Amino acid sequence: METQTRKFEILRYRPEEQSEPEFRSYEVPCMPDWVVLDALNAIKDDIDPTLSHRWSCRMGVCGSCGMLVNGRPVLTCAAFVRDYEGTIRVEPLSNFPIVRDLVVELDDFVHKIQSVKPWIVRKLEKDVEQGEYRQSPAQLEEFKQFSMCINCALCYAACPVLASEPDFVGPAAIALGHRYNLDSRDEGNAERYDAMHGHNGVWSCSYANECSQVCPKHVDPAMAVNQAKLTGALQWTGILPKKSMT
Amino acid sequence: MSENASPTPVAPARPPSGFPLAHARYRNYVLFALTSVFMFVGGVGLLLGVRALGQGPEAWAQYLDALGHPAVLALSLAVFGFSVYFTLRWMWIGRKIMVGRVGPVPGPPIPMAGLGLGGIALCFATGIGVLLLLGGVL
Repeated sequence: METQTRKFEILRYRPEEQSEPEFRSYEVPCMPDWVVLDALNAIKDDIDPTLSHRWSCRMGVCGSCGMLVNGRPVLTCAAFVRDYEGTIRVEPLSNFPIVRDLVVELDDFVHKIQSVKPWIVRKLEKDVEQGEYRQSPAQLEEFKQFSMCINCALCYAACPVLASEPDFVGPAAIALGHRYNLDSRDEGNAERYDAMHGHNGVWSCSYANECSQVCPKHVDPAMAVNQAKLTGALQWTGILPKKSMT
Repeated sequence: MSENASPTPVAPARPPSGFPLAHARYRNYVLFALTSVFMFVGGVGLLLGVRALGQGPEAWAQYLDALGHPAVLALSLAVFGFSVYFTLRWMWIGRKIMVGRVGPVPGPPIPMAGLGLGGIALCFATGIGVLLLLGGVL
């Protein structure tokens, strides 16, 4: 297959050499079926080995290779070079501190995810001998969509609320918390209430809907946030009970 | 990791590319946030009207006269426009709280566009109904 040379502008930041990030240009011979991640790997392999970026599965599952391509948060393993015209600008995810080049610091993101206890909380765990927790297809359908999140953080990069309120728990964490609240096997609704409905929870969301626009797995975090608002309001008024393990 | 290790040096987080005005998607968000200012102004205007109503016919007549001032008319138009925009956007995204159900079993998916448009139509019908009621037409 014939290659086509494409120009890439990549935001570089090496803390030992630079006080702030700046763009650097690269001419990359690209195969017609390349994705942006292939071009980044080609730069690192053949042009500039100092480039740092994250990637793993190359098939849209691990969520590691999220970056801004021409200003839009995407998984670079799923963004075909041929779909972009002219210069392709690649930047690290917005709303995250930059550790190096295209690598961002995810500590805050991970803490936010942890804060909603994204696991099944039970009053009493069954013994193994008692068998598995049963769930009907209809019960699974209640939350299945929200369980498709791969924690790629694209929704955080797209969220304008996070740009102005960095402490906002954020779309992915709320979608995950909502996913477990909807799970028929879970009893930890009350334990998640403060994180999801506190000062930095669902009520900080002001309907930008960008999270759902950029989600590569069509999770629709905006739907989770807005459903969680309704549920939270009904629980606050006492109309809906909180499931609790205590 | 050693307790004495210095924290990783990082460059500060950057806002979304083009935020807040370069892209239509963010301009819409800013416009949506701006609706709060105009709705606040509209609310204050209504409170002034209620106060004038309580102060008697003369104050009420002055209030009505003030409403006819070109600047107030322009402001009222802006308040109305932003209120309509708020309603449209809220109902378009707020529809996501609605989950179609038949008893305990999730029902066939209701078209989201239908829910949004239905909500918007309901809002406007209710608003017009209330206005007609207050105006003594109904």
